[in-house]
Amino acid sequence: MAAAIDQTRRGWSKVRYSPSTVLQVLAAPVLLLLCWELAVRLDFLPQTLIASPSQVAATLLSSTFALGLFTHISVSLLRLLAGFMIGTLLGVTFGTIVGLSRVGARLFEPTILSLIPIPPIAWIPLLIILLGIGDESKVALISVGSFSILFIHTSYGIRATDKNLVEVANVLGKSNMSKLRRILLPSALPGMLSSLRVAMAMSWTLLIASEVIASSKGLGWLIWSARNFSRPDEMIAGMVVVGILGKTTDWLLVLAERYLTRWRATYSDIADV
Amino acid sequence: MSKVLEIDIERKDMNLNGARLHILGDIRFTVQAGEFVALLGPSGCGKTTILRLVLGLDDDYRGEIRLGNSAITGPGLDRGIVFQETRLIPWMTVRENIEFAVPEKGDRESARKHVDTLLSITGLKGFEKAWPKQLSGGMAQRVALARALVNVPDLLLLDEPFSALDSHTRMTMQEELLRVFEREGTTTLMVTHDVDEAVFLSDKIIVLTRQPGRIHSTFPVNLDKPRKRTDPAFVELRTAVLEAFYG
Repeated sequence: MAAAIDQTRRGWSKVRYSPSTVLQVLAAPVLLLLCWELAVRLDFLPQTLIASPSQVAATLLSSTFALGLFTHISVSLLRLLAGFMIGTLLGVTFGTIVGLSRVGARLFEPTILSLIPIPPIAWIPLLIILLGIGDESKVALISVGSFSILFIHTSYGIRATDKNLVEVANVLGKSNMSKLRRILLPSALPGMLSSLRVAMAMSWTLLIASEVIASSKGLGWLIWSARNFSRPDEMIAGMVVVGILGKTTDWLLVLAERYLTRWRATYSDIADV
Repeated sequence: MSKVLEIDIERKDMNLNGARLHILGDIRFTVQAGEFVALLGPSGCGKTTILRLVLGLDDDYRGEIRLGNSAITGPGLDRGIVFQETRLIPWMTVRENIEFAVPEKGDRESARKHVDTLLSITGLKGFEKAWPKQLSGGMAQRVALARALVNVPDLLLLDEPFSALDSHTRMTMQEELLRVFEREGTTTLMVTHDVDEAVFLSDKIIVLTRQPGRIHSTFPVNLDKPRKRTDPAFVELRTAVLEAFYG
C-alpha cells in the first residue's frame, strides 16, 4: 500500500538533483547567455541596439527601473487575470451547455465555431473602437482568446466521456446535476486543464500585443517605449520580466493539473528518460 | 430483502447497421428469493441483453420482467450490477467509488458505516484511498461488487464478472463471491460462459442457444456449498452441462 501511495505522489513531487541532471538542465541556457554576452562585448552586436545579459541584469536590479516596473506588472497582471478568468468561465459554461445538450449545441455551436477561426489579434481594431484603449479592450481581447480554447476543449471533453461510465450513473439513478459534476466534468477535466495552459500562453501573447498597439501602461508598453527611447537594456529587461511571469503562471497551472489529474494512469507514471 | 425475479421475454429485436435482428425469443424463468441462477451461453446469445432488460436500461421488447410485486420499468437501486469491465470511476478512490452508489439524500453516516463493513467483507481494507489505476483486476472487481451491494439490493446481477481475470484469481474470487452471497443472501442472476463457474456457484443453470437466444435446457444444482471442483458429482454435472452447451 505504501508503494501504491508513493506512486501517486511520484509524478507530482518527482525532483532529483544529481549533478548530471543539473548539468543537462543548465547547459543550454548558460551557453546561450555566454555567447550573447560575448557577442555584445566583442561588438558582433551593436551595443546601441542590443544590451548584454549583464547590462540587463544591472537594469533589473536598479531601484528606478524596479519602482516603475511594479506599476506596469500590476496593471498587466490585472488585465491578464481578468481576461483569462472571464474567458475561461464563459468558455467552460458554453462548452458545457453545448457538450451536454443537442438543443444547446444547435443554439450556440454554429455561431461560436464560425467566430473562433478569426484570429484574436484581428479583433483588436474592433475592440478599440467599441471599448477604447483602456483596460476594457485588453481584457475583452484576452477573454476572446481564452474563451475559444476552453469552449472547444470543454465541449469536446464532455462529449468524449466514456458511455459505460455514464451508464453506471444512470443505473445508480443519478440526477443530471450529479452526472455533470461527478462524471462528465471530471472526464473532461484533463483536456480542460491542459487547454488552460494553452489559453494562458495565448493570454500573454494577446496582452503584450494589445499593450504594444495602444497603451500608456503595462509590460507591453514598457518594452515598446524602451525601444522608442533607445533603451535596449530596459527593453530586454521587460522581456525577461514577461518571461518570468509567464513561466510562473504556467508553472502554477502545471501544479494544479498534476494534482487534479493524479488519478490518471498515464505514460508519465513510468517514463524515466 | 431478497425478492423473486420473474422473467418473461416473448421477443427482443435489435437494430444493427440497419438490419433488424431477432436477439431473444421466449425466455421464461424464475429466480426464487435468495437463489443463485447462472445464465450460460456462447457469446452473442443475448445474455448481456437479458441483464440490460432486467436493469431497465432497455424497455424495447415484448414481455414483462417482475421483481417482487412490481414490473421493472427503469433503472433502480433495488438492483445492483457488476459489469464485465469493472467500470470503476477512474477519478474516484475506492471508497468514493463505493459511496457514489449511495443516494445523495439519505443517512450518510450509516451509509459510511455500511461501506466500512463491505470494505472488510470484500477484503479491501487498507485500499480505501487507492485509485482504480493502482488496483489489480481482482481488487477492482471486489470494489465493483461492494458498489453493487452497498444499497442492499433485492437482486444482484453479475455480467461475466470474472471473465477478464486469470484462472487462479478467478477461482479465488468465485470462493469469495460465494462467501459474500451466503452472508447477504441476495437473489442473484449471473451471466457467464464459464461452465465450471456456473456449476461452482449456482443453484440452477440455464443454458441458452444462439440467434435468437432461447432456453436450451435447465440444470438444477443440488450439491452442497462450498463445492469441490474435483468431487465426482461436480465433474459429472459439469460434463452434462458442457454437452448441452456444445451440443
